Amino acid sequence: MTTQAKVTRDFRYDVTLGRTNLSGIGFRNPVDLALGKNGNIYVINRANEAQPFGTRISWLDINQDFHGEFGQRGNEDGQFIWPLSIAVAPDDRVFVADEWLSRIVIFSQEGQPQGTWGTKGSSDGELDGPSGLVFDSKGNLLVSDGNNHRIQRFTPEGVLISGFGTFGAGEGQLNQPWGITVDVHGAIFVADWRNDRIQKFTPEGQFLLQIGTSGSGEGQLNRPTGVAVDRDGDIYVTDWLNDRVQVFDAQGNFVTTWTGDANLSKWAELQLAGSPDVVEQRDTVPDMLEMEKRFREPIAVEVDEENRIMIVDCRRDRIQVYKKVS
Amino acid sequence: MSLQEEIGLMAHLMRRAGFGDPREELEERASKGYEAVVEELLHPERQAAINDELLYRMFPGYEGAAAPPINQAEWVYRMINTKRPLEEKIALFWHQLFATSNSKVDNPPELTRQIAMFREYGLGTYRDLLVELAKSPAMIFWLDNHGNHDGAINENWGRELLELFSLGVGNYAEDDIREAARAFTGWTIAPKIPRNPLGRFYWEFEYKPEDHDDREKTFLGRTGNFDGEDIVDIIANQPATARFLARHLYRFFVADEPHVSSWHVTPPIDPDAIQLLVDAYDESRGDIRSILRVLFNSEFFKSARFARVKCPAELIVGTVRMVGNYSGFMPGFNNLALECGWQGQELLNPPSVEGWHTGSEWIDPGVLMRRVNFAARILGDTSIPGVQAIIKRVLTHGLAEGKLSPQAIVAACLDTMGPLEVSEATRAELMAHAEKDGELSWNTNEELRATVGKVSKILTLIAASREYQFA
Repeated sequence: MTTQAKVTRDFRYDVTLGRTNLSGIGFRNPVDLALGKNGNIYVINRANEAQPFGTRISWLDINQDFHGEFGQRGNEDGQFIWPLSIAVAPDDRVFVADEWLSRIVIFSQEGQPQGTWGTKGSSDGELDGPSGLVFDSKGNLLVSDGNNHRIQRFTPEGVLISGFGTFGAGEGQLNQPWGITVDVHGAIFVADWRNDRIQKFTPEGQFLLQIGTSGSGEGQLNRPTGVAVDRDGDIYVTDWLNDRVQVFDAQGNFVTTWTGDANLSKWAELQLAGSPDVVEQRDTVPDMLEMEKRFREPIAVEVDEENRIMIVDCRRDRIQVYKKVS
Repeated sequence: MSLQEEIGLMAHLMRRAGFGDPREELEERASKGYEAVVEELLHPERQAAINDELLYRMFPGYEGAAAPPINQAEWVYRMINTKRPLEEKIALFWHQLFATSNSKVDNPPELTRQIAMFREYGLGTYRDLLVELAKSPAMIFWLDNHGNHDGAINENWGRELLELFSLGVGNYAEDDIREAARAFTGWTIAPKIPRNPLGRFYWEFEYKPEDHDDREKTFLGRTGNFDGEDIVDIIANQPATARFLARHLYRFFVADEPHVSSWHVTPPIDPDAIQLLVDAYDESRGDIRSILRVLFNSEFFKSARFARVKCPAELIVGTVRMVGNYSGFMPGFNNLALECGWQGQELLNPPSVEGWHTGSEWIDPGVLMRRVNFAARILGDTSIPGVQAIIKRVLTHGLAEGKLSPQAIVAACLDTMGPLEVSEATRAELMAHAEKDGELSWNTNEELRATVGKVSKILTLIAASREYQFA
């Protein structure tokens, strides 16, 4: 399907990755993804306490080749309790934020544990519920420090460099910030979750722009969780409780909305191939494809070098991928 | 009534209309007055609801729960953290009465949605609740109404509606079951999306007029082209329904009664109380809030202290709430949900359409050990801030003299944990233990450490007492 945007952009639904599964090929409550070199895609499976083995990082690529999984539930090295955000460092290491233990867990590109850092608290350099990660152009890590309502910048080793943001709803203030990204100029974009807006800051943390207000109309947001910016400056926002993704231009003007276009992924087709009874049952449901394709609590978004927009569709255990054609 | 008596009465109310309260909250409630608190409980909408967006943010697996006990953990979270205790308690009451089980339904989100419906309609009229129940996809699947067709009826829903959900055995004929079933033909579920490959989708109620038997029916002596709602209207106006519901409410909120299956031959233990509730039903046209107002303000309720064995959810949630543990978002609710099951009450998965067997049947020797160990483990954990607060409060009873006699320790512990009323035998056992330790003082850090340990031991012994098993 092709979506004609209001301004001069053409987006196309591309492909869907994933299916529901507690291990191997599939996701369980995916909450974030990160893009590495050589087409690597890392996906956090938050899962739940009842199915602790489902909490893990899946490692795959856009062709849905599965390369493995790593990390597990726990509080030792290489473990996490409530992983929420993931980012790949310039040296290819994979950083994961654990919002329960309030620490950063580090893995090699192949998933070997590489240590942790972070202490729970509200003093400078401490964390309380880290909810978003992104590396800036200098290789330092920006962290959405969710329950402290601020952004902190660390070296990859966890040494505090700077920070900005205080609790509130005014310009530059934050209320449980979640997803975070940087554009090609180094500007910082934050999904200001409980303020229903995206805020744009200079690389030093000075307020520049607010995008969105509370609501469900065009350009309005209901608890935005994730934000990504492509090389043209277009901004993609997972509008969590509105079950949609909204696209804005670099000035924050509304461009278009996606409510989901998924078809079955290669992994899902594989499963159905071995389940004729399920196929038979699916054939009895009118409008099933219409229901299936919709986003349900889209939670994170990333854009790759080829202008593919990858959206983590949390409740449907999949990633919907769109492509910016022009 | 003395302040102490008022707090004791408030503790009783909160054990029954909720899941118990920490001592400080009981004192705060008591200061508002009993009837005012009853009114507050009866209007949960006046208190803040659980913030669902925060809940599902922290526990993204809860909504659309893939499997039990994820959905059970969500409910336990709500029971512990709610500011609307009666809303959760009435949902538990209806879950016990309209027992629907995941063992057959196999769709945890639908069961969670049924509980949410109990929260929404549970204090309204019985008539409206029964209509919603009849439309609940989980109930339709559970009692096979999706297989109830014009010309090929399935009587399962019709039978249980009359036998277990409204009139009770002896108040209808087999013909009435069949006619009720005919009236509910066409009440079904829209085709279901399978759980694979994208996880659980909710089911939807669907009315199919082409599959509904619209011909004339005779039900409980009345004749007409009845649909399901007409059947519910007739049921809700039957004296037997009022009596049936009154006995259920009495059994759940007031005192243990024999199992429902014997009600047609076993009279209620307090016929006057049942009549009062029946009158309230009739006067309010089956308004549950009005009936409960009469119940909670009645003398028979106020005097029925420790007359019910706590169900596992009451024991577990009540113990956790007493020490203020699991307040807010944290790991661990899954284990609490599992504990309910291990103690014999797997929430959202009752053993049959009859629900759980309650009263003394909650307890057998193995389960009793689990119940005691659970409560004792919590109250013996002096790292829990709430346990520390209880101990601190116990010690304040001896602040003036800087020491506490064994008798004062036992009295202070019983007071802080309830206030709890115990038999002479239990008190004697507690005294025997306390006397071994002698007077407790806390003039040095060493003495304080020892005293904390000894008070904690008394708390665990109380948790292990017979009386602690009762609400």
